[in-house]
Amino acid sequence: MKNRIEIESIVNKCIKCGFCESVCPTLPAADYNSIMGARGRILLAQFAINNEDQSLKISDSFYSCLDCFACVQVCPAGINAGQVSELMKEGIADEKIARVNPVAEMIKNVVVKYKNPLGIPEECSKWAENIEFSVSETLLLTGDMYQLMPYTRYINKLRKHTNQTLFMAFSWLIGKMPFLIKLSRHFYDKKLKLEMESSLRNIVSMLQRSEVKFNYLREDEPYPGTFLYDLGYMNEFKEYAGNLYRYLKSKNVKRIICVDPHTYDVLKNKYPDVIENFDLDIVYYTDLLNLNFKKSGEKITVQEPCHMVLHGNTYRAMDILNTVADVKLPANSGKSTMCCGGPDELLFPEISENVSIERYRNLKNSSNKIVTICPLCYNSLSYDDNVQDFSNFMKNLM
Amino acid sequence: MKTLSSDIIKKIVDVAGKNNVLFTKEEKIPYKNDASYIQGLLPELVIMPENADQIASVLKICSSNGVNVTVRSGGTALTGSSVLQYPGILINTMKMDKILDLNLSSRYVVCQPGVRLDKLNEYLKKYNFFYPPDPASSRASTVGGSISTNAGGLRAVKYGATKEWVLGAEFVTGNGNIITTGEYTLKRSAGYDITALLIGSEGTLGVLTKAILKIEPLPEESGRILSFFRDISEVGMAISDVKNAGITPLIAEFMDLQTVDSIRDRMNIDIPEYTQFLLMIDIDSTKKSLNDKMIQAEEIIKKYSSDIIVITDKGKMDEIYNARKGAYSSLLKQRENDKQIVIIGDLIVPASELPDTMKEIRRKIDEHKIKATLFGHIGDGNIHANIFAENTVDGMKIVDELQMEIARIAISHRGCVSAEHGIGTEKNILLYEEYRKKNSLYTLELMKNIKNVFDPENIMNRGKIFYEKQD
Ligand SMILES: Cc1cc2nc3c(=O)[nH]c(=O)nc-3n(C[C@H](O)[C@H](O)[C@H](O)COP(=O)(O)OP(=O)(O)OC[C@H]3O[C@@H](n4cnc5c(N)ncnc54)[C@H](O)[C@@H]3O)c2cc1C
Ligand code: SF4
Ligand code: SF4
Repeated sequence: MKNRIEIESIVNKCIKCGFCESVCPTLPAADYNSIMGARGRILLAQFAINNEDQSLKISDSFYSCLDCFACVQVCPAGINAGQVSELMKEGIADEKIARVNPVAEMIKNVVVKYKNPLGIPEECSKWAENIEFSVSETLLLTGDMYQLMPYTRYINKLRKHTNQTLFMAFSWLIGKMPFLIKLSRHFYDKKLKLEMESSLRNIVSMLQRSEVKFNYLREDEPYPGTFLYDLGYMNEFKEYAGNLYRYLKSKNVKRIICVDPHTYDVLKNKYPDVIENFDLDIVYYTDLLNLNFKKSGEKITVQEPCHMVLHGNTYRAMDILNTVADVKLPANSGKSTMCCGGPDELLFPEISENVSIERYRNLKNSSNKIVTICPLCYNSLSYDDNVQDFSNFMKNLM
Repeated sequence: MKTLSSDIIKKIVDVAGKNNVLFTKEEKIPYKNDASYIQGLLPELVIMPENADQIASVLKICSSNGVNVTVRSGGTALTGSSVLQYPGILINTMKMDKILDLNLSSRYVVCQPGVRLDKLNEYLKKYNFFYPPDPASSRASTVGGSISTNAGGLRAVKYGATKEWVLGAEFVTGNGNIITTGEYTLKRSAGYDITALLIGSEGTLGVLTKAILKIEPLPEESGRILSFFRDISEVGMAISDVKNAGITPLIAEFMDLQTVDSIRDRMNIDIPEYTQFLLMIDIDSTKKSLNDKMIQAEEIIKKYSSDIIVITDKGKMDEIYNARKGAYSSLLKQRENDKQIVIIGDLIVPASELPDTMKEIRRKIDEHKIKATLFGHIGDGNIHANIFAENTVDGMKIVDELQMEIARIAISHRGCVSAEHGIGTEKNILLYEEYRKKNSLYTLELMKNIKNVFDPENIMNRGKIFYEKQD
């Protein structure tokens, strides 16, 4: 196995203290089945690389990791079980050291074929129909995350009412015949689609009012391949990222504005690892806002995105919120923020839901009003109307 | 290895519920380890019960069919006590993770065994209360596991170990009877104290399913004094003078230079060059009198240490407290390679015997030319000698010899081979040695007889506490 030495050097540092699993959101969400938590992932990876036993069903343990990196914040040996999961997923995807998840395979095939996770790039740009953009070296790259949420929510609703085996079989079929994914254009949550499109429009409006000049490629907007990275398809990701980089260069792009933490993280931190001399400037939209927002004075709590605070990225959203509202952070905040469960929604909907319910309760203890700064967080946590995306909350204060 | 018949598996699964059982090898692999270097056997089944009734039914089946049972919660034990020494099943009580009741005026909280200690204190903090036992593993260790090991921790010098804080329990005996022990009251005088018997029993008597725990209001204010020494005797004298002056510190910790080095960055303070030992004392009091008490303690310590740092800023105090709590794990950085292991010892002697004991232990370690660091809870005489060992047959042989020699030193100073981590499989021979030296092997026989009452078929956590010759 290609990553064996790297994995070994990480997992051999583990003293098995279990600190990581005390903060790992997936462990209680999976009824404390140890392999669905951080320490179990480390011990299973250690076992798997030393005993290449193909009969072991180890995939779910690593696919279910949310990549939130809560574990490394408390590990005395500095181990990141999220990173180990990424390396193991790479071994599964590229070297088939264990069974590949059919949903993951489906997503990979669709992304590679259509450069869009739903195979419907034209749908993904509809939100911008009447908006004018500038000719600029700065590009808004939505990463399709806001657009994807209404579809994943709907698919999961359907999934709850269908049999799991049937769902897996259907995913397998799409994996083989990716054009079938185009059927998904009819399956989305209508209310959420309106909300997500309004979020994107609000972001654009705030940026334009802040006099930021930027372009948007509408139906030519490329998807950055985030899922390929998340699901461990590193060979495909490298090729995909290289093509996308060349495409952006051909459009003379110098700077990219991201609107969700996942796209930001992948472009800012993963692209430079796979592309030599990567020189695009990656910025998060909140950092470009230059507006005198009205004070809301409202008591709010905030779901800080783990892909920002726990992945070592910085952003200005919290500073802005602190100037306009009375922010009451939950018990788990800052470096101990807790994931919303969103990244598991497609592959492990039950775990995702359990994590989100726990986090929602946790946030509600601090304030009735919750502000999210990521479309996945909004989708996972909007159990009531008092949950608002940053873009919509701030738009009202413009 | 004996395997369970499909008939017994079916019976167990029927009473535990299919969703509460892990069957596959991959799911069971993590349960071969706790936080010690000892690797256990792969459990035949892992049962994750939701209530005492399920546990009772499982134990009835196991005891009438001679199926060995190991119990586990947080899995942070440092002695191999939560992994299987004999083939059998594992009962993991993590799913029972609810706080059931809180009564501030009667000063108790009722918990299930899977509640993690930090979670409990996070909950109690909202009411300005706390549960004092605080092992350095409190983030991951649980009510069930800490009661079963009689865990101590930094605050034990003032508040004592876990045994001072358990009022009562619900418990399933090895043969499947559900019993309740103790009361919701702070006092009781009503026959044998069975609750006390369960504390520190390391899963050898049965499974704890509920605990009534005593709680305290949070101290109003506290401050910290750090002082630096060349010699351990001076540390011993400083702390005993503080205590003689009527001040009982909230915590009183010492660390040798190598331990200090491992957490130097995290403490982020100026440490004088001559330092061989660091003493950390916390004093708590009312807002009004804290300052006076701190000055009094400072004056006493000044007689022995020329450099003193006083900290009252809460953020800085937390930073240093967390650094100290991470001392054992931070020592990992000093390993020569990833294969080397750090074995943490856990002796205790009367506090007054500590300086002499430390010197003898250091001499013994140096004789063996082995790397070992010392830190511990000086307030109550608890020394953790951390031995850096090669994880090979020869390496472990040296460790076993050294552990035995150090244990004998502690026993000769009227101490004990384990203060707070428990015996597990790691120290069962040391425990035997302790009672042999004390000429009281009958105490061990009594313990075995007690186990026999709770667990007549001897299925519970075999190989722990008592040394059993493997067949
Ligand atoms: C980094 C680190 C630092 C530590 N620092 C300290 C310290 O400062 N002080 C200290 O005292 N200890 C310390 N420990 C040791 C350990 O954390 C404690 O012994 C802790 O109390 C064990 O709790 P647990 O929930 O992890 O128990 P487990 O490891 O799951 O089990 C411990 C024992 O309790 C039994 N048990 C568990 N649950 C039940 C139950 N429901 N019913 C009956 N028996 C049960 C098990 O069979 C086993 O014998 C430390 C450990 C680590 C890894
Ligand atoms: S916190 Fe780190 S050392 Fe402890 S079990 Fe997890 S990965 Fe291992
Ligand atoms: S990254 Fe998050 S989900 Fe994954 S092991 Fe770490 S804490 Fe658990």
